[in-house]
Amino acid sequence: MTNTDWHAPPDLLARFGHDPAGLDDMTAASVETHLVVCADCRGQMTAAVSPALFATSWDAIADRIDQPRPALLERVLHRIGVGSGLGRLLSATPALQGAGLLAICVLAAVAVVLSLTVDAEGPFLVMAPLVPLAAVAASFAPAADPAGGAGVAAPMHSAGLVIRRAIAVVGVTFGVLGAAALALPDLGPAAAAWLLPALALALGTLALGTWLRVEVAAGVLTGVWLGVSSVWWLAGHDVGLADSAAFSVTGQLTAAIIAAAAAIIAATRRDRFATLEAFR
Amino acid sequence: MTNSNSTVTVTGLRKRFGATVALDGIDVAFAPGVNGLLGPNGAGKTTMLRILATVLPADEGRVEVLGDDPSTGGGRLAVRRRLGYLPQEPGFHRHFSAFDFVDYVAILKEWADRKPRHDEVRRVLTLVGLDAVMHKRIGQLSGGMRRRVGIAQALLGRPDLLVLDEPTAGLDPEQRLRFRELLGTEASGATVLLSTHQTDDVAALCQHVVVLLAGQIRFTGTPTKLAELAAGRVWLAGERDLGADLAWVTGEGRVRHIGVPPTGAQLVEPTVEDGYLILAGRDAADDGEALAS
Repeated sequence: MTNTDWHAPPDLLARFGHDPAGLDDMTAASVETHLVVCADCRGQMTAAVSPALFATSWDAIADRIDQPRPALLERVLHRIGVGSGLGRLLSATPALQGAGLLAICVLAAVAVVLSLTVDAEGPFLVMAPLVPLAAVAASFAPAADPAGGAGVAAPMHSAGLVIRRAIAVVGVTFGVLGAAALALPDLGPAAAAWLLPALALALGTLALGTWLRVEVAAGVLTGVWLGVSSVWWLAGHDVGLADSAAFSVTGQLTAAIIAAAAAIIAATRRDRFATLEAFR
Repeated sequence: MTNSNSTVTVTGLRKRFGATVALDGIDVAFAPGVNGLLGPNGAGKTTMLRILATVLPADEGRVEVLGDDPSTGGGRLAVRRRLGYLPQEPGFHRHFSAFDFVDYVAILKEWADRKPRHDEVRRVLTLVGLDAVMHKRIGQLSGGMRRRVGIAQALLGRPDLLVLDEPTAGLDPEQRLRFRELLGTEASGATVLLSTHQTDDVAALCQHVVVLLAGQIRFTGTPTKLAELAAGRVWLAGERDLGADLAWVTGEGRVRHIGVPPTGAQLVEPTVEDGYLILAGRDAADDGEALAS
């Protein structure tokens, strides 16, 4: 029990003031409790400790209080080894935040529901590759960087950051779509047939975005993809697309080649992403 | 125009957006100190500042900023490391607090260590008088406070070049005075380029002023020289004279005329605003003649 008639020995106060962690837990807790009610001992400890040490301690406390609470995605990225700075920059991408993530999940769910409704894989296989494409386009929207133009003029805003953000967005959409595909157990190996076309369309958007505005590039490629799918249906085939040209072995190889070529083009012409030109 | 003291030089700068010519062959140089950019909306001020802030590439011409060429990757990075930029519309993330936002920009500015970064964030937010509300969401702040958040992020790390696009827009008179004081202390020795519609800011702050009209430079010199363009052409009279180029009623109830003197008018000292209005009026008249011909 604390008794203000009793006072802590000066050397104990000095040791507590300089390095509380150097005392055992029980003693440190007792001194701390006593200091709360004993002004004399607080005064003695203050006199024993240099003002510089107090200032440093106060700075550390203020710093801890001011530290923003990391977002969930930022904490996840930190857990998997992404540095805190890059994690903060990636997790701030709007496509990876509440509304953006919800939109990705809704699109994936709609694709699954349509496929279940018509009892065929076609709707899922057509829609799934468009989700990463839309997410990449959204990550280039004018509001994609929470700091807007001020962020673009910062040294860490580079083509590298923009492309890393696109990769993070594509990674998340692939995860969501992969989980969605599990809801279509009859799909079998065709459940993975959307992967390469999706990669080709997402990387194609980046590559074409070095000439056109990224959202225009996304619109063009969406039209091309829907056109290819429509031609298949218009030719009298049913809604099952797993055996269509786009998802055949040749189609998958073509998608892989397009994806590789698009990645090379985007990397070669990445300088375009270093200014607002690609975002306008 | 270029001299050995210049830190920013622009030669033959052109920029188009589709059919619109935003900058039409600009040649200008800026030295350390506060440089003002005056001009009406659409004159090309924001485009020019964006190019100098490495946010937009030029279509033609040569730009040198702090000894580096921002059209190259290495040059752009070097400029960005010494730059503070306040865009006309910063585009705040509304869910960020003022602290979160400035901290986020500090990360983008390569402040990797958390403790010194947070110290710097607190310093700049205190400088603009937002220390008491730094943990409020930006969406809850007034327009003037949001502007000050934008100014705070531009001041991070005491940059050598400050590019400020309409920094005083939305600030009340007291905040504008504080901003002038702040620039005097924080930007000492730096090159400051600021665009504004406030001619009194130019008169109070700038050592050098450039007037841009329709994508071309129409004046470059000191604010005093700009004011002198209207010397002998500014009058105060009791009533409006229909022959004046421009005339408006002042707070004292008299009519300030620019142009030919009305009968019984009193010649007065011209201001920077008068000089600017003379230039802008001449430009409008030239356009009118061009249209008529």
